[in-house]
Amino acid sequence: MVIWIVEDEDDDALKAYDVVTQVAREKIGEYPSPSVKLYRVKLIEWPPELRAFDGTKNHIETDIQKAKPSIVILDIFDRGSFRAPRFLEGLREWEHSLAEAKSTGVQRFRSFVILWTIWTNEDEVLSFLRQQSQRDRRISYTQTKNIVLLKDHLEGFWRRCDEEKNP
Amino acid sequence: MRLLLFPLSTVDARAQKWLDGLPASNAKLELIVYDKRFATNAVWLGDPFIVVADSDHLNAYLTALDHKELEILNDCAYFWLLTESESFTHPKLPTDRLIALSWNTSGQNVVREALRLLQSFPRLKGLSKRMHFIREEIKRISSGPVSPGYSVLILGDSGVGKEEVAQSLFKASTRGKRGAAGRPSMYAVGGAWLNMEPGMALTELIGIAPNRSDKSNYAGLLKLFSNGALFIDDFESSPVNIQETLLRIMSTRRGRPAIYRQVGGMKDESTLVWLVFATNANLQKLRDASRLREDFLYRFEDRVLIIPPLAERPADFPAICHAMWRSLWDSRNREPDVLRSSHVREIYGRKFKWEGNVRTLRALFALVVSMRRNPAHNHRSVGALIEMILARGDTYWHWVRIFETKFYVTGQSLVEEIRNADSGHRCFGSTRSVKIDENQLLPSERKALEVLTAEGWSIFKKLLSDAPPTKSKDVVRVSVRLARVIWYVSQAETITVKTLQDLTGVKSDQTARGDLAILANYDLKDLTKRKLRGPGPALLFERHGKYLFTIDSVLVNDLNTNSISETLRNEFRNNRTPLVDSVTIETRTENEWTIGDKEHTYVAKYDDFTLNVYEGKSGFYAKTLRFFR
Repeated sequence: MVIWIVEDEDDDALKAYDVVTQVAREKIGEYPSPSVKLYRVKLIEWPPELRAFDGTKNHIETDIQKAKPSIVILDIFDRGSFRAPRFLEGLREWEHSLAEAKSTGVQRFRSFVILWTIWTNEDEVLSFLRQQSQRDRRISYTQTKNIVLLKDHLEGFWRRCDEEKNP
Repeated sequence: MRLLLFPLSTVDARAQKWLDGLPASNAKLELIVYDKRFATNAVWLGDPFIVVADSDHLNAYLTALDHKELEILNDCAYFWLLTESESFTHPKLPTDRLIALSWNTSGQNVVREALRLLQSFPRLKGLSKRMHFIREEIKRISSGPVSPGYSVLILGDSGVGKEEVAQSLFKASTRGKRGAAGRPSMYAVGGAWLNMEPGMALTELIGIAPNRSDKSNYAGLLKLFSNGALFIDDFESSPVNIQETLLRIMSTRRGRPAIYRQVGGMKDESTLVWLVFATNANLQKLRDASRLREDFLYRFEDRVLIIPPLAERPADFPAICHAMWRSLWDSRNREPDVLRSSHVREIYGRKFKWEGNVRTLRALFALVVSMRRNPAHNHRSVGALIEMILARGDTYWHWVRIFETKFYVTGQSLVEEIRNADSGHRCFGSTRSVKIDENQLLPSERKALEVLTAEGWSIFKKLLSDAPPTKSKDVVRVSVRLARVIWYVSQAETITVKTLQDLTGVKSDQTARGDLAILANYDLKDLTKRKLRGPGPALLFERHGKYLFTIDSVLVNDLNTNSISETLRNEFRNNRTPLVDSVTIETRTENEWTIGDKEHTYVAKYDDFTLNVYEGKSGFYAKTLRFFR
């Protein structure tokens, strides 16, 4: 399970980290675990700069293909700018290109994305959140940066990943 | 046609050669090879399958299957074991059909013939022996030059698939074959529909002859479908005069055209219509009540197809589940989610009665698909949605009430709703006294007041007065915690320690268990205003007696030593409620045991659930509670 935490705020990134580790412990019984890899993306821009987020300092993953995410926790604002749409577009295009490159016809895998956001009444943001979750059933959004909600969404997507792996 | 292959070890060259020869005469066969670690899932995938292995691996495989899987395997007519010898046997394998095939001999025709039969009836989805027999019977009844001349009776409960069987029967006959002259078809009509004004119903059937004055005429169903078939469902609901007319047609048909006259007609008309009847009624009772002529039944001779209820056809269950699921998604034109073997297993494991049979199953899946299409549930897996619906009770009437919930519409779970209700209020902090000021209730406390009876509210307040005060400023105070639990239990079937922690934010397992214990140690009779609704929500509070303890650890039931009994007795003892000697605990199956005395017996099932045992007024009873972890 590869999880990206795309979050500009360090405090929020740590909150998300706590939730991920808690869910990982509940799901697989331990964390750290070789089966779970966590990356932090501090700047919400594509292509992302991936940093290992498991206590290993300053380890930057240069080969993004080695860190293909299963779940992405995506904050939508980067220092006040609404950056999530461009990031999400980049992510999906990249995932699509990976699938096309394969000649074996292996089923295309798209990551599950949690738009983890503070509630905002701006029309642009609101329509982005609603449209994305309506268009793509692998995207969900939380209405606050509440960690209970994040945990609920993460647990759900984690289980969907598990279910997709097994017949 | 899909055929699943499960090689348990490296496939022997002879086995490979045998398999290569399998699709030779069946071009539509799609062989799908699965990894051996999925072999135990084979029975849940709803397709015919072959397990390929030597006898040692097969023995290990069959031994590892649990009772649910064996139940399905024993009822399945479309699985085989490919091994070195046809004489392979295993105590858990049925002996009523050829299952073990040898890769040293060319026995592919056994598989081919079974699959060909399966393929001939695409509308009949099950893999059970009973459904296999029905396919063979349809073939027998529908074949032959005069077969459509003889009426057929289909019996089965509501929702077992009588119309599917009727349509399959028609398709298999000479009339239903493609290219049949006159493009004959089967027309389905309900007996109740014919229960109109008697004259009109008869007119519908036999038609009206052309009138000399206004030229109006109506050919009637017998004429319109003369080269096709009439499927009369619930035929016993039709008026007796209609039954008599049909009886007349059946009597004279028998391979020859039936003669009758239309209303107002001056000349004889003839029809070759094929009559297929169906009912879910008890024919004996109808006959005794003179609502059915006995000689009506004799006309069917050996052309009676009986379809048992879904619950009696275990091997049909997975195949029907997958077929239903696919059809629901097909009609919605969206990329489907896949129904996993674990989901089918989960539903099957509940051992519902499935009173509406396949229709109930379809209704359940329709609810799940409907929720999956709602973006609010994007983050929920299919398994989670199924669990949430099933947690509401055992029947469709319990499940469909999920429509009432905010969760259905907004995706907000009950836990989230309860937690969010108190947001913005001061619910943290130390409380030396837990007396409640009814003028300053928090939303969750107000909700508890709403759902509890007056007596319940006073008991609740008494519980609080005995409860230890909350000391930490970081913990939600006890009155709010317990109020949230009451709110939750008034709407959900049960509560677990983990849910309580999510509701209250309490991290300490001990505090959470303490909260449950506060509620559990009191008589909770009639605590809520909700009426008893069977095994549904709020049962916890409405049962008479005491809530004794909760086991939320896995109990392994060793049937050989009966060791669960002692473990269970210890649980009682540890909870300071030792069982008296007259109460016995007996194991029944791996996940089921009985608790009781001479007068009362209570069955407790355990299957990854929490088990709660209660002391009733006249004995003990146990209730399984789903463990949501």
